[in-house]
Amino acid sequence: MRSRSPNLGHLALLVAAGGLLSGAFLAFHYAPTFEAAHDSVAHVETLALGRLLRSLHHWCGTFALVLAGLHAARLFWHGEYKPPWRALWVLGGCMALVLLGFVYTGYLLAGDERALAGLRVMDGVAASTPFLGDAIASAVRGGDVISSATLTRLYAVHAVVLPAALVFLVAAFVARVKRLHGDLVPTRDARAAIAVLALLALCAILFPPGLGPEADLTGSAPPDARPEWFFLWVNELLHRIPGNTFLVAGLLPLGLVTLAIGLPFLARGEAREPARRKPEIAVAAVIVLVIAGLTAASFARAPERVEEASPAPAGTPTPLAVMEKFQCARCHRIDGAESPDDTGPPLYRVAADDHPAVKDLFTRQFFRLKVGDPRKYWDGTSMNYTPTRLKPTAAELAALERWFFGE
Amino acid sequence: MREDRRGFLGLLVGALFGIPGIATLLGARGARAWIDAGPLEALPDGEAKRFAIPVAAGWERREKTAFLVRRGDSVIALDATCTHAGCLVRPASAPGASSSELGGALGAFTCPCHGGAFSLDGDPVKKPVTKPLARLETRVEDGRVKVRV
Repeated sequence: MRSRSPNLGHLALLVAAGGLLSGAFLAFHYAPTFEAAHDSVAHVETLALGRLLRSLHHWCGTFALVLAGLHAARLFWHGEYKPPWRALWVLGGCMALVLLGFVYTGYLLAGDERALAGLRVMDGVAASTPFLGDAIASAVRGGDVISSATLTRLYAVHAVVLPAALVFLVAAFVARVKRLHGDLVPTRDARAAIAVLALLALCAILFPPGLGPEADLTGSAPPDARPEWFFLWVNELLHRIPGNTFLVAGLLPLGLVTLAIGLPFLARGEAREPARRKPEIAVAAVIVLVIAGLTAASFARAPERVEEASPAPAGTPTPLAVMEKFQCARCHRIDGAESPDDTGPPLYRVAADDHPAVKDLFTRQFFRLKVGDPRKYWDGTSMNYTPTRLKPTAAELAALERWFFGE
Repeated sequence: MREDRRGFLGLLVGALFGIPGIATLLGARGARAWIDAGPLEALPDGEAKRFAIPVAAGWERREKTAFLVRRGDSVIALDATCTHAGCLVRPASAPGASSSELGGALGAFTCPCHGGAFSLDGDPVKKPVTKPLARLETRVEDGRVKVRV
């Protein structure tokens, strides 16, 4: 056997096991619908160690992919995809593909604007498939447009199908190794494993994944819409090559994956020494360099999110005008002013109240539910927006929200 | 030695990912607060009025049902959860409440699940109920009812 250096494949699987464990806990807190996904992810971040849990889960993906990539590079360099390891290479390649699937689908589940942009690109690429585009895209979406059905399908893939596939592949892999070597290869990587886990924990603490603004299914893509780092090269190609979506984002990645996994059947020479396999190593190096170059170019082109608030456009209702229109003061005291009726509770600015319990109960989300549609929130309410009986528009609701919560 | 190492790594992964995981499952209780339940005059004397308490539950705002009962100038708030098995009780005057549910017109609140009943003050008046309804803290301030939830 080669070397006393750590087996990076073992390390990738160890990290993947961490991903499964942390994911099992996250599944207790996640709801795969567009109404709830963003709220449920944001809620996890408010729980004790919840932010850390989500960050660890996120970094498991990146670490597993990087370790798997390095492992594959080393196997390739030493020609260890050739007999008797052909089946192991193919099984390992499928595992790497499953890891990629985990990270890809995980990114799309967060319910924020970037995740939605990612879903749209997935949908667009699927729909660009010749002849079968419509059928594939609607199967992926679970309907004619992206909806909670899409999210639920992706979640089933992420949390049920892929874990099952990984467990199956590992079992097949272990069985094959036992047939080759009589037992598992001795592990010499406890120290390396501790180092990797420590580095992963450090990254998780220092660089949590964050959560963007809630996705609006009718809204435009956000200015910082871009995929995860390992798909940036495809993103860059889509940006540079006009048209040809299917070729660039469908056929090309699929072709590369097939090429990589099918390598033992394509490069059939018996020599294992790198010096005697120059052509295939050169081809692989060019592919890796091109992908790295495109990724770098994509990073260089990365748009900055514009943070400054745009001034309210003309015609934006003011909070007081909205309160006047709906005659809030008939039933509520506003800012301590008298009210003829007093049916409802006094209204005051949550932003100005520093009682933590008030902030906890009267969140923006509660406000939108309760004020946006009082009867849907509680059908026994006497709040009915006299005299108009019309619900406030989104702009009017936003104006009221500004009043309650500040900018 | 090899087995020891594997066991150790398993333990390490279990601790790193399991401890934050378990932590997130505990402590899901919301904060306490006094909330406004409307003006005292809006409550009819000697009658139960349903009151929905906004509650933070997971990522949602739901409500918990309570009943406000006014007796002159004071108000009590009763948690609607039956102390027998946890169903929500209904006021005897609720539409659809049959005379059998009223337990022979004994109770002000009846529980359809097992036939128990409570008085207007929340005391148990008909078996299988044996414990009074839980009370929420209340106070009247400037003519408005406040409930601690």
